Amino acid sequence: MPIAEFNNIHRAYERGKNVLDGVSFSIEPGQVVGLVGRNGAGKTTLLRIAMGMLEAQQGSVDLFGLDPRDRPIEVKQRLGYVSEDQILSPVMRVEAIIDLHRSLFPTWDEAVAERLIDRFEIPRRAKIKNLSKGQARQVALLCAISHRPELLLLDEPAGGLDPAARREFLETSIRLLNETGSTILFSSHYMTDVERLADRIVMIHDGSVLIDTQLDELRENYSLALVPHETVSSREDLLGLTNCLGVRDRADAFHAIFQLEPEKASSLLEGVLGVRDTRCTRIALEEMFIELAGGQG
Amino acid sequence: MTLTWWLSTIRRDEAVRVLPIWLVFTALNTSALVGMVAFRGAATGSTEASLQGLAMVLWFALVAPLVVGRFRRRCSRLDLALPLRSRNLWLAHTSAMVVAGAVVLTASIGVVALHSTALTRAPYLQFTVPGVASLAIALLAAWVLAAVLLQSYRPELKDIPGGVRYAALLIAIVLGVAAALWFLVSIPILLAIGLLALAWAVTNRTLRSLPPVLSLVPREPADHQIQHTSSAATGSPVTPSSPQTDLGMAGLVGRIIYNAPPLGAATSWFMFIFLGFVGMALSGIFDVWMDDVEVLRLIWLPFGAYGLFSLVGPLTYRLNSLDPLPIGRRLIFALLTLPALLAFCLGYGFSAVVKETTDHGQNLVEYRIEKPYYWVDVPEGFFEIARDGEIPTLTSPWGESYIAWSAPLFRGSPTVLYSPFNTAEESSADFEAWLTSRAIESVYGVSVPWAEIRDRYFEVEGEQLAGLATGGFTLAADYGPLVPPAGGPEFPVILLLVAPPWLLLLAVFLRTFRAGLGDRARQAVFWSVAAGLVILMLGIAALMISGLFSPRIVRGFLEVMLRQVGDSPLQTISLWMVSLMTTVATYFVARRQFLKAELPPKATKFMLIDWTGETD
Amino acid sequence: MQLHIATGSELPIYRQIMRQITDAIAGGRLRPGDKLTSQRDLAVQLVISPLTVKKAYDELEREGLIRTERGRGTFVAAGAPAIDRGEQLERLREMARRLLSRAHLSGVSLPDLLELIEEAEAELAAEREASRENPQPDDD
Repeated sequence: MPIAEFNNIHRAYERGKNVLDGVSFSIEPGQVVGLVGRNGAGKTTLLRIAMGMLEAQQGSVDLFGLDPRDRPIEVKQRLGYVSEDQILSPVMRVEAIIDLHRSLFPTWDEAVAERLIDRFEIPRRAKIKNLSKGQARQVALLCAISHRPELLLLDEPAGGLDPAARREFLETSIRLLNETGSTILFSSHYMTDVERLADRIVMIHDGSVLIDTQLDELRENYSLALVPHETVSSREDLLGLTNCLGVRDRADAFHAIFQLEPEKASSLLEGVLGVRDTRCTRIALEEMFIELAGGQG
Repeated sequence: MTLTWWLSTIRRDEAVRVLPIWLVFTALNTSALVGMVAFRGAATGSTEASLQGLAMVLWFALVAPLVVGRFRRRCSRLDLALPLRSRNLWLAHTSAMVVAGAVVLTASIGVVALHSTALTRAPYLQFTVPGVASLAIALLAAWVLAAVLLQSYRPELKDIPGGVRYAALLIAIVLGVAAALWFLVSIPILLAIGLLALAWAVTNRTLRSLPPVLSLVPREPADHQIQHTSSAATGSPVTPSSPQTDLGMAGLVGRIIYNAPPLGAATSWFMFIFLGFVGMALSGIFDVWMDDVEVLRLIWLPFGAYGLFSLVGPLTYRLNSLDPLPIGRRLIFALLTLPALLAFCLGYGFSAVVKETTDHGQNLVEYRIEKPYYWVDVPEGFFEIARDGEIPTLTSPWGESYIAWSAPLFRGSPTVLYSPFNTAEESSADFEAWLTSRAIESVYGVSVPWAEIRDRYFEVEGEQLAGLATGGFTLAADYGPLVPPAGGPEFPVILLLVAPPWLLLLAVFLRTFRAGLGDRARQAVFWSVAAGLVILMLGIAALMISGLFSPRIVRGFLEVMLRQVGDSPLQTISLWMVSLMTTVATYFVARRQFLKAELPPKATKFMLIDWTGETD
Repeated sequence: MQLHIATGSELPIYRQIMRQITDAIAGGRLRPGDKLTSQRDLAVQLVISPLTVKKAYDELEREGLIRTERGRGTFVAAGAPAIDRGEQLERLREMARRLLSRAHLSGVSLPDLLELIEEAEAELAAEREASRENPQPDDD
């Protein structure tokens, strides 16, 4: 049974402009899902809907078999949440924030919290507003994981952190995975972080899920074909092909992404469009992201 | 620096950007203040326009937004990044404040003019044009000085740091300049020159002390930062110092709500004190100083709901740090609404107790002589009601009679309030004494033979009353202690008129926190509700001014009704039940909306009060 | 055993781990019976998901290169790896093609290239010999 299930989620902030336009996917226990997409693609909205902080105008969310809007407390007690926006009250001291979380989460494990405070070297009596961004985020993370949540929702958790702090953050997450085998749904713009942490990626584009696949498969079963301009008449010819996920019209050629191994993409191009000897290669996640989500320029 | 730069910088300044809202507020404030001046004038029977009073009205209407306004931000972060001199940024911001103040001042003079020529037309509001013009100059100079003084506090920083010292400075400036205006308003032009000279001197000093660039934050570190880093190094295991109880948790949640930056706890205290003050005002405590306090109370009834609504509404923008936590919305809603209501009730309760104790010292029954009038003076609350307008004739045992004085509840109303103790000029001294005796019995429940009153207090010439005896009307000393009866259950009525409207309006406001409704909708509802309540307030004032009803009579009517209710335990309990149950029911209505609400993650720029901090 | 992975590569991380361990076994740096870093430790060490490490170890185990003993750890398997010969030849053919095109571009002829391969083979053999005489302790 999936631990989280998004079912045909629609959400608009302004009438007629859907940020999410029918997003569906589900997460099995133990999965680490990287949520990627451009700024404004709706990643934060989706995570907030999962938290029950926003309401889906259509569709349903199911966490642990519960609707987060109907049973907010039960759901939130089993969740951990860290977001890029500072959500801890800046005027509170670290210890007060930890006290608050301890009193709110029945499964709070003081040993975990203690270990993390020591490892992060967080001054307990300091106020959040006097901590560095990295430290504040560490406090947020420690608050989010010390109750051993069944599902961790991380909204751009490493956003705005320096590389060392980001790496620290990743290490903590990985230790957590080692210890408890948590399920994680996280959004990130750092493709290298996604590669390290995620085993599955979900890419949201134009309001819906464009790619939902195992990360390894992405690199083995997807390819980029560079199709010279003169060999096809227009982008649409390529977009019309099955398994073609996106085409960018670049100066050198059409860049087409296929959900096929390079050899198969090449033979598809030859078979259907009669384009021979196209250069088809495997592609790294970052390139894939740019090719699919980037503009036409 | 080109003129274009100056103009565009001034236009971008926060002080100018909040002008539209500021203007609405000032218009309302000025109207309310003018209304009070008008009533004060009516009460004292003054016929002369007081420039001092007008100066105070205009000054406090002008500076009111300083308390909540956004004048602390001297420039944006972008400005700091541009090659601009701190001197120019400082001057631009100070100029923006002056420009905005001038606009507001013009607007409030317009409102006063409207009142004096069209709406109120009271003699004590008739000012001469040169008088007002020179006063305006003095006020503008005062505003310039206030702006310069305020901006000279920590001039090296991008934002003026808030806090106790800033608050103290603000109060000192507002009151100091008010005092200067009060005492020197008779020589406005000289005063203006003096104030401007002072402003000029302060400006020069500040400009000299300015560093070449403004800083984002103070140079000295905050103390706690140094102090506590060591505790981590030692890694002393902390005993969970903490609240395992729900109460402790609620305390922490309350701290998050009421201690939110940037204004922090100070604003929250201000809010509670203010609501307590509203509660005091509605209890009628201020009749210790003001005769016409019913005016205030009636006008302030909508203000109760307004105060609660406008202060509690924006708190919803402080909840984003609580939203991800597993805290029940019911608890949050209780923490959001009940402290404010409690502050209001405490203010009311406190002054009701104070009033109760001070009332004992007062003589409720007086005999007054202001020739050619003589009358038994009893508070309207001891009058009687004639629903059909038929006023009984007061007839003494010996057959002397008089038809009592009466007043309709409102113009054209068949229901009238009449005094059962009234006499005519031609009434005999015996009749006066008889009525006085009746009044004493009615008010204090003490029976004093009328002949005793005549002999002890009245000087009689023939049949007629000539004056009071030399000892005066020393009722309390002679027959004391005189304990006035407890008034009727007033609080449930006040509560009914304040809490349910507030909670229902809050429910309407919270209904806008839903998917598909943008921040504009929220703002529109918030401001229309707030403005609607203020307009209702002004409407009541306008009806009073127009003479449609008299606040004294309305108050007396209510008191008589409440006294009747108070006499019957059953009715008293019913009134309390209706009031409390309506309040609780509307609480649930509002809470229902809150449970479904989506809390806004970010603050909005439309708020006059910057509840959430930097919006650069 | 030192492993290093590169993100942003077209090669999945689990393949990078597999390749490096395979190379180490082929090069004699890992020998039958040697203990491998535990999956969890390797995940923390490389800062990658434990699931990725698990996938790599599972694949290696399926190929017969390593074996896991419950409660004791993971070890390099004794005996010849049971790898599909056809698949191996396919992989080698690919590498040979790349080598040849590189040689062609550099103007190196086939006989010279064969000579180069023989030299490299000699070096590898010497290395193997050296590590047999002077066994390296496992890194962990």
